[in-house]
Amino acid sequence: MEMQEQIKKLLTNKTFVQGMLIILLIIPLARPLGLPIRIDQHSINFYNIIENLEPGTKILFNYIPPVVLMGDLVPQSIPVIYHLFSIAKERNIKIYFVGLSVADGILQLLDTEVFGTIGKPEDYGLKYGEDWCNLGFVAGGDIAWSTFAQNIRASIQYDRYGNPIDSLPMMQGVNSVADFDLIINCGEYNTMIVRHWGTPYNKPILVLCLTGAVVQDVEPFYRAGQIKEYLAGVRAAADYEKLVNRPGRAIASLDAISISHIFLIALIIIGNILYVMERASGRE
Amino acid sequence: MGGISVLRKREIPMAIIFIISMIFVVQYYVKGVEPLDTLTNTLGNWAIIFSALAMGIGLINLIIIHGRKVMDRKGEWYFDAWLILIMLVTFGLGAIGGTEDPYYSFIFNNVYQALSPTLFSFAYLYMCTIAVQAFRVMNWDAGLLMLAGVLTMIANIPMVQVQTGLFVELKNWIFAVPARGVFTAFRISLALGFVLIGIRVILGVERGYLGVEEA
Amino acid sequence: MAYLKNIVGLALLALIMVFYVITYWLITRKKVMPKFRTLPGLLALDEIVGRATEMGRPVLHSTGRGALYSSGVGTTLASFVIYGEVARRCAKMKTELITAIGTAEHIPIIQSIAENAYRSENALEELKYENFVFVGGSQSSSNARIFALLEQRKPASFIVTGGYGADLCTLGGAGRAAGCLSLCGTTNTYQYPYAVAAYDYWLIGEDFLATAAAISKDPPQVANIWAGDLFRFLLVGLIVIGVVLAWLGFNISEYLTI
Repeated sequence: MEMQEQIKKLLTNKTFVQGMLIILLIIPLARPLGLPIRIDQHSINFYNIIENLEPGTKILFNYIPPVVLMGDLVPQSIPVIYHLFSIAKERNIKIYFVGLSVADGILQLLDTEVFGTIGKPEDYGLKYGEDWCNLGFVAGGDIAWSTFAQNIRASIQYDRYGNPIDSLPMMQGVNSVADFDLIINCGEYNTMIVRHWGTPYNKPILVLCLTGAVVQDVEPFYRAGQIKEYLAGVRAAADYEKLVNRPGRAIASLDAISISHIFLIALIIIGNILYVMERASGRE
Repeated sequence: MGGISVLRKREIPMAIIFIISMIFVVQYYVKGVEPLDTLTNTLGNWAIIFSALAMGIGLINLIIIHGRKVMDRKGEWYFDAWLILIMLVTFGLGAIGGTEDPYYSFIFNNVYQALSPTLFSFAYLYMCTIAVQAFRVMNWDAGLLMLAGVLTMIANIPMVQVQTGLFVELKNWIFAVPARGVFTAFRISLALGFVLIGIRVILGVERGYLGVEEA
Repeated sequence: MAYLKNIVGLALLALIMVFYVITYWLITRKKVMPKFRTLPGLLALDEIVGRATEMGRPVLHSTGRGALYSSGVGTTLASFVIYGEVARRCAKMKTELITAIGTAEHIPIIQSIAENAYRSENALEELKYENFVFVGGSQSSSNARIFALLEQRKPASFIVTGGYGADLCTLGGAGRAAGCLSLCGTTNTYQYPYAVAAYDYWLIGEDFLATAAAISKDPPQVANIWAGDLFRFLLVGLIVIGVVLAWLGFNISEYLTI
């Protein structure tokens, strides 16, 4: 009974649970265990969609991960953008980066985190203004998405680097979301993107999103066909790193995910065993 | 007039909201009218400008509210002074040098970008603590909740996924059938709720955003 | 050449307006007042403020980080309504109210709501402006500041309403650890499980959006909610018809985007 009480106290002790979690997360990060991984079907589908893009495809990439969520979203975007850059030149794929968000997405992470890790687009033979461009950040939420969708030039006249967008060769004939072939969203507000860009213009949407409850939100749209495919969380990022054969921080953190999940499940099971024992002895 | 400025009357903001909302609603359903499309694009741009202005208003509000505390030397006023100093320095560096400015980048990369995810990680720690306490088999509902939660967690463990696909299939079923049904219902209800609140705002029934009541 | 798009959507919107007109007529002319389902979260407001009064400690209310210019406006407005009600009760019971404001643009609106609430209870001199605390516009900064407030000011009750992300769970855990009686109000579907698990009382989804009508019992607001409920029956009927037609092999979804 005493041991039961001790264990019960530990389980309800915030310091113990969180302290143990931190230790169990640090160990595999400091010394990777190299555990095997199984690639999820969603990641495979996502990879195949990018791999089978038609020549001349125009991709609108809305890159708006908030800084607080960069731990989940940036590891996904790195292998995806690497994949896009690898095939863009040979297939004449045009990539239009933009940052339309409510107020909290950080387009600058594209330069610092993504290009800082995989290299600049020029390293892949892509020319700014002809193969890729960065249309800049516009705050405003639904109004911004809606205005941009109908008339790009109504909301953006200059790109991120101060060039008039009409001076970019790849902007010729691109006036609204209807002129793009694929939309990729990295950030929050996935359902808003579906509402403003996907459904009205019947465009396929790929989504890089968080794991957990956000996936529950994306699933109905995925099943209805409004979102073509999604990657969810660091787990999917690790899958994609393996698929493009470019291990990075996501694969490195999988061991930590495994260990912490096992610890949590153990705590939940122990807690329930104690609870059942308590109820049984209470009845007696 | 009783000392109330005509600019503060509720009727003017409500009239503006009604007219502009009706323009957007009509434009959403009636296509092919160019003057209407041009008007909504212009109004949309104004809205984007206003939302950017709102951030500027936020800056001014902060200076007022924290400046008052600094002037009155109330409580931990030195933290308020520090906040105002850092805010103005960061704003100034960004406004003058742009986001490429090395000092601005230093503050962004080494302070904001480092601290934000660190503090966000508390969410995971608290979620775990709450999960351990909440997942108790007290009754059938709680038992089902625990079962679904534990199955999903097991399915997310890479080690287990490699050994067997059973848990992944179960997790996919939970996501695709019960969870999806519930979240679809939530989404429909919420969308209807937002439509209703939009109608209330357009018709002037909902006036909370105006703040001030007439005396 | 002008043409109509989203005709089905327009028809449904028109139906909602027709229901609204009918329910408003029923309430104002026929004096039929529908009964609201009991919202435990709203009922708990008395207990939440009362607890703070008895213990001589303040109420901490965090109004969220939602914007007034995005689709989260409904959540923000509902948060303002609850805040006004909390402020009114605190003014009535002479309980200290600390307001944590997550969006800088809302500061004057929230101060205005508080002034109005305190004035309505003839307690304007009790309102302390130093209790309006801006907690920063991001999750991490608001977490840090609210943790500090919970630690330093030791509120007896903790109310969290408005636009939140994953910090809703963190705040709930922190409030529980600080020994507060807590209430949360959110429409963020991702956070419903945490709202239920981490807080003592909750108002989620439509319950939260309907609070204005539930609190004020104002006929236009009540009529609006009632119209929504009637429309919901229609939606259920359409869903059932759609399911039956889908069984029979007829795909109705392509006609819904006309």
